Amino acid sequence: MNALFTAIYNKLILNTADDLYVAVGGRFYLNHAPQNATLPFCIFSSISSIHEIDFGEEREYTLIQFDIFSENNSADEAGDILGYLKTLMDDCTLTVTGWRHITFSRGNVYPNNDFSIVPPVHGYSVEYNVMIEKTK
Amino acid sequence: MSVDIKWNDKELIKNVAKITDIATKKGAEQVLKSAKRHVSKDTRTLVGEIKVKRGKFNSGDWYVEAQGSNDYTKYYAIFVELGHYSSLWGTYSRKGGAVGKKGQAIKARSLKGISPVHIPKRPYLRPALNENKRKIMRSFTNALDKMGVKENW
Repeated sequence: MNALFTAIYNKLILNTADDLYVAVGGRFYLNHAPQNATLPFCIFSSISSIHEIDFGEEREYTLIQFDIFSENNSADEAGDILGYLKTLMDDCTLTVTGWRHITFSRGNVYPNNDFSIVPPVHGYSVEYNVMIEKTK
Repeated sequence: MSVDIKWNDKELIKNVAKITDIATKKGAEQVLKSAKRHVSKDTRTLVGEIKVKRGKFNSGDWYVEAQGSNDYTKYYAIFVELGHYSSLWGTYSRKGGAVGKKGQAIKARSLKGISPVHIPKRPYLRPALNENKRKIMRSFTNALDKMGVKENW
């Protein structure tokens, strides 16, 4: 799992001039944002992982969730970051140590807002289905 | 030479609908069981609010839902599933203001001094569905086998 997380993180920070990196100020966190984290930021984490051995081939199907949060009166910022995330990650190629990366496809996107805060927090949760196969 | 084929399509459709319904219900019950095992049991409230429901179609329309539809007094199931960025949990304060006890929601007017934080997800529905996908497919093929439809497609 660490190899996959490292690969995703490396993809996110690979290009500091990338729209997503600039928009969130390089604030990418695994699982949980620190308490004093400045908004906007992006969190990625695993939801579930299924291991499969099929005639000697070893595969892992992992569901990864990205969360974007932006504190802004306008929903534009969160929407823009969502667009940048899709551009960077949809069907991307990852380098996963010890594994042959096969697919990284987007699943559901859920709005994740909190309007009780002033200014309101606009957010999105985005799912990606990842399949990796063990390198022989 | 002529060959007569008798094809009772109404009977076949009726049987397929029946087994689809049974297999889907069985699959939904498996997901329910897993979801109840995965869900956070801090207060044990949410675990009692996950249910299997029948959809609007007669056959094969079963689903698992948390906290039901059209009940807007309960809405935290999705926050637990996805995680969220919120001010509603009193235990999180980064400025040292008044802090509520764990599990106690703080009303908006008492939020002074309490900064919102990211509350990580604790998914229970999606892992439950993922771990049961194969079992659900198997229950369909088993049901079709019982009916005499072989897996030739």
